[in-house]
Amino acid sequence: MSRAMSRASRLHRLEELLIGTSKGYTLRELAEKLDVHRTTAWRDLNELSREAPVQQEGHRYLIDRKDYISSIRLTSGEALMLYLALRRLLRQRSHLPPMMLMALEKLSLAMKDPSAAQLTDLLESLKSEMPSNPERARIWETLIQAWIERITLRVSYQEMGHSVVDEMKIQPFLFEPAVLSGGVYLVGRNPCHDALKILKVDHILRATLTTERFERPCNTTIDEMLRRYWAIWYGEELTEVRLRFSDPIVSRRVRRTVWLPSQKVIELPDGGIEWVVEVPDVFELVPWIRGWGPDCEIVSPPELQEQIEKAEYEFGGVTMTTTDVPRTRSFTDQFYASVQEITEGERIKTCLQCSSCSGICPLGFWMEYHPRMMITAIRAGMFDPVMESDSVWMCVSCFACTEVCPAKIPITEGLMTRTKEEMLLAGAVPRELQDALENSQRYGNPLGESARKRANWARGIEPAIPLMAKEKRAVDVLWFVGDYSSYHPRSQVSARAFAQLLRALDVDFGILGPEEVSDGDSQRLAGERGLFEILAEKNGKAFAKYQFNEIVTTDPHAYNAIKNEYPALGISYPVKHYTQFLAENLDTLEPLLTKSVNATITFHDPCYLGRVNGVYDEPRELLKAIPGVEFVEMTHNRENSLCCGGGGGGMWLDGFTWEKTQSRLSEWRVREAVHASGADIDVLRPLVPEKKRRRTAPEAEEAREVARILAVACPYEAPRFEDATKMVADAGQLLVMDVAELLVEAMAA
Amino acid sequence: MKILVFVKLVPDLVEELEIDESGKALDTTWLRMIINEFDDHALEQAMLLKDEHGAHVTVLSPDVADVDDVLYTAAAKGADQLVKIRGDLEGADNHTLAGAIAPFVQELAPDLVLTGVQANNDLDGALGPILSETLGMPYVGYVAGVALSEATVTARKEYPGGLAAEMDVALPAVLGIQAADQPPRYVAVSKVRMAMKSTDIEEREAAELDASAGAPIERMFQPEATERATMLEGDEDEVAEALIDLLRELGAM
Repeated sequence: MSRAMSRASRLHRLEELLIGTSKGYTLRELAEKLDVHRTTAWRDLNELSREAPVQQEGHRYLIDRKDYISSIRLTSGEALMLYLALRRLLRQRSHLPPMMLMALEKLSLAMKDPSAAQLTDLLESLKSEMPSNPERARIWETLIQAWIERITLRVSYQEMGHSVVDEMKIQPFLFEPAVLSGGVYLVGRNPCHDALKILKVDHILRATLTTERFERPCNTTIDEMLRRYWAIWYGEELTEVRLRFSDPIVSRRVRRTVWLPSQKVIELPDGGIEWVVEVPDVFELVPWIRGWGPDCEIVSPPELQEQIEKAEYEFGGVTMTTTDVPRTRSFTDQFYASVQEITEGERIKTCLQCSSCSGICPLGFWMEYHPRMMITAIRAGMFDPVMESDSVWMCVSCFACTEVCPAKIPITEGLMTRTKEEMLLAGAVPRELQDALENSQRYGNPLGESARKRANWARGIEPAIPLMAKEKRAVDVLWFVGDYSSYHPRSQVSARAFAQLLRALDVDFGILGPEEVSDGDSQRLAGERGLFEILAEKNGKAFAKYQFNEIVTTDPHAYNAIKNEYPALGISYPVKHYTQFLAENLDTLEPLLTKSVNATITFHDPCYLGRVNGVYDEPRELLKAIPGVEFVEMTHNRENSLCCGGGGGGMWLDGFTWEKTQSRLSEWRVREAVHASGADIDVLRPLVPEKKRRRTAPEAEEAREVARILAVACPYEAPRFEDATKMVADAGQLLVMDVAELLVEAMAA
Repeated sequence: MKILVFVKLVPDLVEELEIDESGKALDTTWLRMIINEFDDHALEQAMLLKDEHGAHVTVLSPDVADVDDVLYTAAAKGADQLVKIRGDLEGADNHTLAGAIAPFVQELAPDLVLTGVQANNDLDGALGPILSETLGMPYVGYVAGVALSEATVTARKEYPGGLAAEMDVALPAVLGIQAADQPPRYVAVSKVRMAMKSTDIEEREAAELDASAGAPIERMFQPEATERATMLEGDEDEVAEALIDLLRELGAM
């Protein structure tokens, strides 16, 4: 008997040893530690292996902590309690993590009849009623391993109702169930921003382990940190919240559930109840209280009442009324009047508050004041808070809101741009945008490059690209090259490709070179109207010096400015985007496209070509004219296209937007392109730019020659999307190429 | 409180600099002038002090090409008085400049003179100390942050290695600004255009210039382009090894 006892405790000790080691123990070491002969240790080890996942690595033995932590002995009462806790957690979950099922199974084994039989039945019904989800189970396993072993995680996280997926690193400190909802939260630190993060486990889409370890702070430190962030923790200072429910049915419903452990229910003579709790942060209750609607009346504290009213106001609820107090002509009124002065601006009065604008806005969910709320604020006579927020700088002037608005309100041009103008006049400009604007003013381009070097992209092209100032003659086409095609190294490649096409089509053309300045359109949409006018006037003077039949531009923003904005300043010339020009000449161009480009190609509609100016078909016609191309559409296409994130000043606010949202529209778009162009296609050798080609092994030269290509037609896009392919998983083989570059590729002898 | 900000224009390094035929000066054919970055911070610091305490801010600058734009921009930011000093000051060194502007500073009698701590064309030392010497005022340079009280200013002076000191300086004084408390503000083009219509630039004639005080320039040189660079070839390990060998050879390790 005593021998058996000692064996049981020895096995227990052995188990502890094997769990506690990361390197493992040899048989000899184990024998020494257990103070038994090696053969006994060997027998014990075999015995334990039957119950616990003992692993052997070489001559060493250990139990992996992620598989198994410890054996515990429970009384039936304890097992039942655990079972109830698990059952409660399960009640609010849509998927059944296999781990939970296994835990329940083990519990049922540990429990004696009659509970065990009952539990087995329940288990069977649970298995049938809840789908298991192996992917979620893997995520759970990864999270738990990281938590136990203190390894930093990389997770993809998508909040409810948000379409953007955040990629972030997180050091998991602890797991905690929410008080009033069914979720389980992972609390941890984001090491990149040194910020505490609370992630709902169900919203974690992917989790992988990094190689970085971290130190877990002590529990009191975690409590201390959390108190500032969230109210699931017990604070020291408690506030009493008193709520009254009068409706007898609702009262019964409230009374029946223990919502919070500290709750007290006081019966009222009229059949209603007062529900009293003490909580560290009353505002955590706001969504719960709102859920009861008018059935819940707040007795105290008053600030909770304010919070609820504010929420109702912000969400367009019943309390949203303008004040009757007579006001002087406030900033809001002046602003409202100025919006109405622009073309179709009066339509702002017809806003239905349907929120389509805010819903379709690719960054709307990040904005403190999204477009619909901005109009709400105007109507409430309270636009000042909008001006104090910087959320309008997230607007990329992509026209999605304007396109979708059923009341046809010019939201982009009116509301958003006017707000940016006011922000700019008030000097509230993010630093990086300020630099771009100052550069545009001083050098005539936002990149801060020398105006004299504007034609440097064309160096080395033979015969030389004709400069209007040198040609001193009339040409057929004046090519307005634009800022990024002139200066950005990636976009210069596209510019050179278009030059090749012009030559192949034998077009009589010229460029302005140093006499050309920025078209100014993005500066205008970033709120700098005065700067736009100066730039437009400079271009207008340069245009007036020369004779040409039409302007063709490689930049959709320039196309938009010259077509729609310059005429109001007395600068009026026929203008085409280069894809329109080439599509017009497709009869001449098509016979030159002799080389097959074996590729799946999708096309990104530039906002200022597509949505704003309705040019959707021409770039597609050009792409489809290329032999060998399989053309596919992305989820968002044509009117519904997604912005690359560069419009309306976004090109110069990448840092700002990243800081606010930790997301990039360009990455979102690239994910769509990867999805649209198929998943199992290899690199197309000849299409890979030479620099990239050198990096791959020579044997890959023989790889299957089908490319996945994201075609673009705006000089902002190639650099933006190419950067994004470096960040998006599976996008490594996606090529970003300008339509002009693809046509040149198909032309090559 | 009267604050005087002295700003000068310096060659814009976006354009490539060339030396003229004399070999003693920059070729001005393609040269563009831009406000000295540190002077822009001095102006911003003056604006911040004005915002906080109220002040009359005068901006003083030599009359060179493009100076009007700089002065109007200062007015749009909130400067009250714009003065440009006429005379042959294009390319003048700091000793000459200090001598030329000192009488105007004395005449305007400011409580505080702010200027940039340095400029890319300082060949004979920074302007601030020379000016303060000429005016007989105390000077503190490398200032990043200024607080005002009745008769003194507290200047936050930066030292190398992350050290900083707070110094009380009796007024009137000259401060060489390294950085304003905030980055220079943006001013919308429309505001500058308005300032052009509503503000006058006073023009004053410089007294006789004394060009002998500064350092005479014998010759200017372009930075030499050499081909001494060695490219290390190979994979990461090989490159790292070669680099270590090289550093050992040079006695750096």
